[in-house]
Amino acid sequence: MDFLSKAGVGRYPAGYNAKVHGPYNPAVNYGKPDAALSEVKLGQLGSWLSRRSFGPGAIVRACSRGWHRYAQKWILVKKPGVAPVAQLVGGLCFLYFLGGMKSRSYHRHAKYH
Amino acid sequence: MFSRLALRTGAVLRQHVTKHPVIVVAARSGSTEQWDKANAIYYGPERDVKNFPITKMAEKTPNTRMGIFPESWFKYLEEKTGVSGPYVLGTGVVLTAFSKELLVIDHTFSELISFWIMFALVAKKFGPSIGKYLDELSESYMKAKWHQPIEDAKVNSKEMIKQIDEGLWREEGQTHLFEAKKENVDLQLEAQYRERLSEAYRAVKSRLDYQLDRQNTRIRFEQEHMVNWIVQNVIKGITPQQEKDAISKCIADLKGLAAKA
Repeated sequence: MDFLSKAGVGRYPAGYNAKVHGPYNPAVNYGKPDAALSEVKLGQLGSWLSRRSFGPGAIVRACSRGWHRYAQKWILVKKPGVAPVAQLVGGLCFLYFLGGMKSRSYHRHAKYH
Repeated sequence: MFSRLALRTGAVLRQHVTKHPVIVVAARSGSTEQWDKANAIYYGPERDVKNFPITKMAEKTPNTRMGIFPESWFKYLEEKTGVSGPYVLGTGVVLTAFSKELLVIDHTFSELISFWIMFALVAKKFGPSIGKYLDELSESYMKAKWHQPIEDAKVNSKEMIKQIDEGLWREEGQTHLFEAKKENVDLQLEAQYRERLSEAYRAVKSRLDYQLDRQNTRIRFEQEHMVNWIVQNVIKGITPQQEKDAISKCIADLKGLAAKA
């Protein structure tokens, strides 16, 4: 289990400093600040992607941050509405849509597209 | 005054000391130290509140359109495409899927439409009442598990502070009681001293009176004795001739007086 700990599993991210950042929030990126993807222009996309790291640890951390950001925004609020339920069901619909792509292709009406 | 002091110093103090043992106070002061330590780490002078603001639980979820898509997506696209842009994009995507038969209209397609219609209907019709019930549930949960314990702890702490202050007040009363007792003892000593002083005075006076009486009696006795002795000797010295002369002289005087009268 020691190698996992050395790889950063179960530890705070490297950039986190409790004295500057306060209590740890798993939704916040404590790395070097960069522009959000929605702010990046198409021409700058290459350089923006080159600044990202694509190691397995980094991808897992990014997914974790994304989930926590979603949860804090939509689920862990004082009075959540129907939106997260609808999003869950809609997301499942979309996943089934992707999963059934192949079998659905046999039911196509037109031969050529 | 003494009954008031007794109240201040009396058994009431012992009661509330056993009710809240000193150990509790010690443990509490320890936990506040931990609290200060945590505060110094998380909210010290180095804390960057501007870039990493203090997290707060949101009141509600962000706004949505059609109950599922976040408003922020529409706002992001509206900057570039205008108000209808996102709708055009969505419709375009769906139409493309139909056109390329990624989304085939087959025997199960009606389920998709009817499911979402029913979902919307149920959400519209029962959503508010279910939401109200769940909000009340979560509010009562928050009250029972979060706000009420804090309130109780505050009330308990205030009560304890009050009792400790009262205990200190009683402790202060002990000094008054001590002073009063000291004064009482001093008064007793003073009374004893004065009593002994007067006793000594009386004893000395009685001795002096005795000496005086003794002296007076002696002088009187000597005087009487001397007078008696002199009188006896004088009477003894009177001869019968002298007596006779004196009587005859008295008679002559009486006669002379009678002649005058």
